Amino acid sequence: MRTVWDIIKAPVITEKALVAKEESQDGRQLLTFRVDTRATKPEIKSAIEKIFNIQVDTVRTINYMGKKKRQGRFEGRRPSWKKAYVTLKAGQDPFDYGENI
Amino acid sequence: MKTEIVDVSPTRKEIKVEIPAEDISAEYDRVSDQYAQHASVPGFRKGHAPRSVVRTRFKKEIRADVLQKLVPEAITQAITESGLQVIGDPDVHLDNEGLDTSGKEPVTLHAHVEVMPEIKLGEYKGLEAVRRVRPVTDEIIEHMIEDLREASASLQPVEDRGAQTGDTVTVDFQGRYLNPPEDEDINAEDVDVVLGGDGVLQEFTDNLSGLRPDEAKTFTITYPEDFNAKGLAGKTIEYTATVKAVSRKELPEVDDEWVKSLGEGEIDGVEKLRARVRENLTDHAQHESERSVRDELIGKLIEAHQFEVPPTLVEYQTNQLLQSTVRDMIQRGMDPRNPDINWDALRELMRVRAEEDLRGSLLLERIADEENLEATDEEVEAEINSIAEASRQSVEQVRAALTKQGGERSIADRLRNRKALDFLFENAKIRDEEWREEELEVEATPEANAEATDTESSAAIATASTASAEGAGDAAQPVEEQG
Repeated sequence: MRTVWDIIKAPVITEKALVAKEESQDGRQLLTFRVDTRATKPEIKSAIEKIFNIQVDTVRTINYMGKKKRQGRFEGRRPSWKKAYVTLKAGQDPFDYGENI
Repeated sequence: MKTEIVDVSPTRKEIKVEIPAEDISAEYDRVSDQYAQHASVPGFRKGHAPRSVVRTRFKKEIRADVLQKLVPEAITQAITESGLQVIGDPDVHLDNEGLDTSGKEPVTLHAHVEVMPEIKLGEYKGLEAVRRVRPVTDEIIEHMIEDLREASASLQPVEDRGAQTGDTVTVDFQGRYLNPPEDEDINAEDVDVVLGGDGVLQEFTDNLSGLRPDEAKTFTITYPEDFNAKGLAGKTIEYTATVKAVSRKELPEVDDEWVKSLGEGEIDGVEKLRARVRENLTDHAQHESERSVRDELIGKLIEAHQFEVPPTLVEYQTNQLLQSTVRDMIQRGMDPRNPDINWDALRELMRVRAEEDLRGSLLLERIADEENLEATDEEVEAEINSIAEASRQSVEQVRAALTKQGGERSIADRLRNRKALDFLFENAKIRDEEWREEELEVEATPEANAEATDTESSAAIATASTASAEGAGDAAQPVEEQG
């Protein structure tokens, strides 16, 4: 059975993502997550709303191709993944990725 | 910072410290900033990860750093504030082990420390002691002179009679193992056997008696099971002994000629020798009695003052004593690894002694404080010089050794204690009494006995070197009195 945790893999905590979150426009926080490559925007929206109990405004996604890697003469590929930019509705509590444990 | 001191016992205290939350959060921020500057976290350029991310990632490390910084500081401060004289390292425990150090709540901890006991001095002036001086009798003097004769005896060959007890026989031995048989024969040439001497089997004495030079005799000897030499114990050996020479001990006549041959400069006559021996023995007896008076005084002092000695010090002193025992053993040619030695019992014994020593020196220290006795620099200097002289080292060598062991400070402390003991001595009520022989036997462990005889005979060798004997004994353990 597919659960919300199969859709949302992990938060993306990088300098870029944190800056984006800091500079979110008009009080709408911008969050970033690694999601399943097959997940659709509506699925991501409902999953995030369910997990974090927050109101999602819009979801934008981007597919990342895994990097090509070769081991000697064998060529392979790192897994491809999908990143979701989730914009929350205005007026939500500041979101915490869990860094202040 | 809140501190509280709980008395567990006179020498053990418990310090309770509470480090306030502000201090912790300040330190926590400082440490995490430090980490943030250097940490490389995936997704961030080096040094650009935000504090919050670094904190999650290096939670344990930061926590340890914070505690490592704050706890010793707090303990040191608490100790300084309390004015306790702490011995050794404090034993620190956190009260709330799993605690959050991000600075939301104060950290409480307690430390067990050992301190010098407070010694309340009772009466230490006018202690009573009995002085007994060993009398120097003509008998002892004659005995000493006899020893000297023995030492300068010469061996004279004997031609006109067979060997008899007391003679030294030079023999070539050939030995064959009879039981159990072994291939190797024993071949020994020019062995000097003192008939009837120490460590010579009675069988040898019996068999070699009566032989003249160039005579040979074959005899069989069964060594006892407990014979010293393991290779021979319990074995039967057939010896063929060929006597090469028989000599007897020629004791010199007690006359001026002999005394001169001892090479003691101005002592050139029997009477002078007697006088010198008497003088030395009297000196020695005097010293001995003074020492025993001092021992008694310290014993009385210890008895009169009951206090707890810090266990760390006792432990340290015990180890010192054991070490010097081991050194002693090695010097005597004993192997400290010998499984027959009961180290636990020895340790227990040493512990008792160590505690006694410590009591003594702590009390003396206290008296020195009370009487404002101090060792001057010149005295320290003089002491170092005398140690150097007694141990035949250069002054620099001694100084170097001392610096390694805790410096000139220990010498000063030792001199101070000695002064305190002198003070005790001067202010004691000393009764003179007749010499009682059995007094020596009370403490007569084999070791003590050996020492006693050593010093006695050296005193008899009528030289100036005896004067340094005591100093040398002191010098051998320069820091022993100090914990």
